[in-house]
Amino acid sequence: MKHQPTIVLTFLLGISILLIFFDLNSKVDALKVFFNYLLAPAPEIALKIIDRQRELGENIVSFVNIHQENRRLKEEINKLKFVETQYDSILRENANLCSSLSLSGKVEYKIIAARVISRDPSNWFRTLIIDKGKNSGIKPDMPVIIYFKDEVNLIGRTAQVENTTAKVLMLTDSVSYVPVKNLRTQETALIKGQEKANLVLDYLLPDSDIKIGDKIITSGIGKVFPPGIPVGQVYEIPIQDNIYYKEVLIKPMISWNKIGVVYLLTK
Amino acid sequence: MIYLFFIFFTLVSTLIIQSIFSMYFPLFGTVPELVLISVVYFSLKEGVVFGEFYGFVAGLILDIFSLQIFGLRAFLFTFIGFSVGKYSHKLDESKIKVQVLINSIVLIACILIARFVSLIFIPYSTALNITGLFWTVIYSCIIVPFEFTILEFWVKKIKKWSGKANLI
Repeated sequence: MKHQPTIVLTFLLGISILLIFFDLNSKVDALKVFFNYLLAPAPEIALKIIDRQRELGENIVSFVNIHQENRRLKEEINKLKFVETQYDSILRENANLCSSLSLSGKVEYKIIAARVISRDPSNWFRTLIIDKGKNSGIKPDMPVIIYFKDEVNLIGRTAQVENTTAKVLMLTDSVSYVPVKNLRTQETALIKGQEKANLVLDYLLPDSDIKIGDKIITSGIGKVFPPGIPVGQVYEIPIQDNIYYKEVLIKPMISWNKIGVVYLLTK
Repeated sequence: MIYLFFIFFTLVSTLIIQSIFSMYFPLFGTVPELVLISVVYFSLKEGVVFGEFYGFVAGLILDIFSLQIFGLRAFLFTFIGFSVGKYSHKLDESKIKVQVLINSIVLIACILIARFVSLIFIPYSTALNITGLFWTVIYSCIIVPFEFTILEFWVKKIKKWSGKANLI
């Protein structure tokens, strides 16, 4: 009995050594498969429980997030309701003032989407051709806009309209003039193309209050372009000798090379 | 017999918990050697023969689930069961110092011997990762007192249950 531990040790170590040294690959593999089969469900169950707990944790977190988001959205809705009420009241006030002053009301515009199929091969900044024409209700002098990275920007107007295609005179074309105004100061001027990516804001008075970063929008004068369409931002105010008018450089909020789909505004 | 069944159940549960640790709670890529800790516990608690058998079975099961040399862990764990079991009457396993010290020595010896044997059998295997060894020992030493306490509680329970079951 005294030697029992040593006998057991020898026996077990002997088996271990046999297992190590003998090539028992096929038998060991069979044993592994058997034990895996016996023990595999247990870890799976344990891992499932853990996964459940993890899912529960994630659910609690997402529930809290949704609750917070819900509260934030409710606050936002309340704010927007207030803004909507103010907007309605201003709209009504504006309509009343317009009618009492006998001013013509605002015209509502519809949008027609068109795909650019070609551009002026000789000058990239002059015209582009779209796949919609008279058959689609396109007429000359319709404003053409583009959506680019959540920004709307005017790109020109329709010039020559065929049955199935139309040419768009781009803002960058040197013959293009668009009446615009400074959004901040409401000062009006004309924007003209120079066959470059940037535009020139012309006919500003020498003492006009204009700063870099000011947004320029269409003024609505001339009735071709509806008021309020963004055209670009002031990016340079060069020093000039002209004592009558000031010229300012405008950078459109779009890339002229990324015009794929355009939108035409029709009354 | 019922007690042995419970012990086997404990071993399998420890193995499952160790695999859960390896999946979800690794510390710098290392895992506490819960099965080895249980071998040390049962060797200290139940003596040499029990420790040897428990070590052999535990090592064999670990060998089945690992891609290392088959039988190596069975060999090492049997030897650990024997060595630790021999001192079971001289050591007070309820002291945390003893638990941590014994486990650290056993773990370092086990890893180094396993590495050495691996180098003999698989010459192209990579060199010993000292940082990995360090973190495995640290991680295991942190877990040791908890595992000993849980096992102590559990063994008391299963002894009670198996005693009652034997009466029935």
